[in-house]
Amino acid sequence: MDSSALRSKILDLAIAAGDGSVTADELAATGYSLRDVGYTSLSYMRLIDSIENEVGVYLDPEAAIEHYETIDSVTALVVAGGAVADA
Amino acid sequence: MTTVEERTIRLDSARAGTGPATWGQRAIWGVVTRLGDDAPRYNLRLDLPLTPPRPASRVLADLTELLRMHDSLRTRLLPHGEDGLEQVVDGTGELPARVRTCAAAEAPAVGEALMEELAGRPFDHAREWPFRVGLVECEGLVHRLVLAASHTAMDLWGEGRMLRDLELIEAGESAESLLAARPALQPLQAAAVQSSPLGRRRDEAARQHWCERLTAGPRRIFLDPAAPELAATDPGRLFPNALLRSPALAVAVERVAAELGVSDAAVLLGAASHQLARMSGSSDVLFQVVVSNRFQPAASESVSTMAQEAVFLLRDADKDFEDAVRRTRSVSFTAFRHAGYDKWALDREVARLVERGEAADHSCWWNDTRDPGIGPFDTVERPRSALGELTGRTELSWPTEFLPRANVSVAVDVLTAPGALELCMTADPAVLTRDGMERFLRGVEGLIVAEAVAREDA
Repeated sequence: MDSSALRSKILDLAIAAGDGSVTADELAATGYSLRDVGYTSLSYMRLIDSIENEVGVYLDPEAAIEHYETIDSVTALVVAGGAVADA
Repeated sequence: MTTVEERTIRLDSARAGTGPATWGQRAIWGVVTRLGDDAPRYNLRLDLPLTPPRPASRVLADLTELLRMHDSLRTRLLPHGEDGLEQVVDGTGELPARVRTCAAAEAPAVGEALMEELAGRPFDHAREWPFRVGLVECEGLVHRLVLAASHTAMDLWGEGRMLRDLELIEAGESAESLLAARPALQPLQAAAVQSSPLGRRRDEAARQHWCERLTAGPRRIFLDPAAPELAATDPGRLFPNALLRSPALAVAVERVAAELGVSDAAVLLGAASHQLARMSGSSDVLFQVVVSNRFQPAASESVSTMAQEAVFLLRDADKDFEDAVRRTRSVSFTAFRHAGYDKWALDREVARLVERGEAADHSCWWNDTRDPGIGPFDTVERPRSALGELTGRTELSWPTEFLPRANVSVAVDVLTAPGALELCMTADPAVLTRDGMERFLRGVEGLIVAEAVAREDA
């Protein structure tokens, strides 16, 4: 998956993990900042689970919540974690 | 006069299968097996008045549908070798239902006695389903449904889901329609994920995180315990239980959470950490935090046992309340990511750390039991009084005392009540007096209310 397709996939997963509380338009309006749209701790946990289950990349478990605050920073974490992705 | 009878729930052609036990099943099975005859104190108890009363045939049919819906209610657990535990989901079988017939006025007392009969003895997890049923019948109709379940079948979150599903089935839904609308994770599915390469990696990372935090945390939290000699001179001492019921806290915690951009759960845990650090003399504090592990929608619908403990270590917690709350958000996020693991393996690693004197004091517990879907002002009007006035309505009571609990110095539960939040605290009198317990609870409330008032005035 190239980085643009990966970012798009993560955006979809982030909206789904928001459980109806976040839309693509709202995210675009905040520069794709999850924090600025009031993303909850539960949504963050769901997003990480979804990425691990659906993208097959195990994210750095020690990365603090601040690393998950924008779609771009999450994409960067996934790219960095790609080296240890499950086959 | 009360008469005694037994009827049978018959199930066939339900989902069946065999696989390794889940992390949650292993954790609880290990605890209740070690407790032996004392295991019933972990059993879950539900004595439900039926309004209006219903025919027994209808109640038994509803329970059959509930059994069909949730595999955990018909799962047996069998030891397998030195370190193995197998779950066997039966698709066919019979469950006895004990029926007591009495006059309607006697139904509550008969229900209470029936509950003790069902829940007051251990479950034989290898041979019986972890679920027992009793009916109290008066004039041909069931007035009370009495259910007892082993903790291996469900945790408190699972119990809430089971009750909701039973109500929906009583209202006419079927297991099939409910599962189609809201898929619920079944324990065999959870076990398959946990034994996959991803699951094994999560387990290893969680146990590594636990051991690192335990090694880094304070060796003692209460530097000046109340009566340390009691540990030796009075091993059977009772642990007091205090309950603080606070309308002000329910209002203030929402306001502080919104102002600081964190969850209300982080505000409460951050305040408790700050207060514990100020009272104990240890700047760094460590809580074992009970985590529901129900982040995905299918997991949140699951009737099973998934909750496990996370290790939460907050450094310099005594310095500043706001700073403690803000850092709680990040620290608890990392801790919660490491709350799913093989408990037996972790226990062995922690025992080695304790033996070498390298483990932090991990005897403080925090359990925020609140369901995110249920708020304190769902059924009662939000108070209009100023927070300063609301604090006058806080009530502190001492409902009970408990037998000594291993590795517990302080345990705090957060609960939702109509119009209030409740903090329920149990403490070892060797560590904390009743005055100390009250100071802790009122301190947590005071910190959050003062912060809310200050931000309102700003």
